[in-house]
Amino acid sequence: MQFKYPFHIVGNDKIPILDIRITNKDNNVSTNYRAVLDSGAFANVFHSDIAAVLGIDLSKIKETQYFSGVRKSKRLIKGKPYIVQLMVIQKGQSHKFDSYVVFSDEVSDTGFALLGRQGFFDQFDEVCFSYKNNKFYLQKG
Amino acid sequence: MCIIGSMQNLIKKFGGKWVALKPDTDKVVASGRSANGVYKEAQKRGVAIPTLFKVPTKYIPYIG
Repeated sequence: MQFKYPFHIVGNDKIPILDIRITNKDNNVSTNYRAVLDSGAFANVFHSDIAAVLGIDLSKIKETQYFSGVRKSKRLIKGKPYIVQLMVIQKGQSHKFDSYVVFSDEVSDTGFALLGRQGFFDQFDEVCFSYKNNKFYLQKG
Repeated sequence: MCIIGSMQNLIKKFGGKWVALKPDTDKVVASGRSANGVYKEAQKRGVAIPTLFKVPTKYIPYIG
């Protein structure tokens, strides 16, 4: 199955944005969330407010995941990892999988939620960007 | 319900806020500072599972 999307055009840029469904399997609370497909991100990074919506108490998670960006800075960004269920839904077809997500309250106010390599890209056979054609797609099977 | 046509308009009108969108659209059904608050408000307005989006305060080209 294939999930195909247009890029979102902002100014001179085209951004690969899609909506995904997140479910906390512990209580079956779900929300959809708008995020950027980011091959530069090692994993999914979501705002910690989404954890609250899903009823996930981040203060009870002992592990901390640290990560950095391209900026020259000694300070690392930190977040709390959790396994949730993600589902891509489009035109009557869907693909769901358990996924590693880092919830962080240090996401920039000018930034987007990120769908990264571990926990998203690795769940599809192909992730293809056709920039000139203004489309990107996810291929499973 | 507020119908917004593009990401730029979302940023212009709701920058820095959480919005709840009708799924697969850019129709804003609730907005505010609290993700939980807009989620519950959207459900009150009949959208069982809204799409939450933290609208950037401004668009700055992104690298990463």
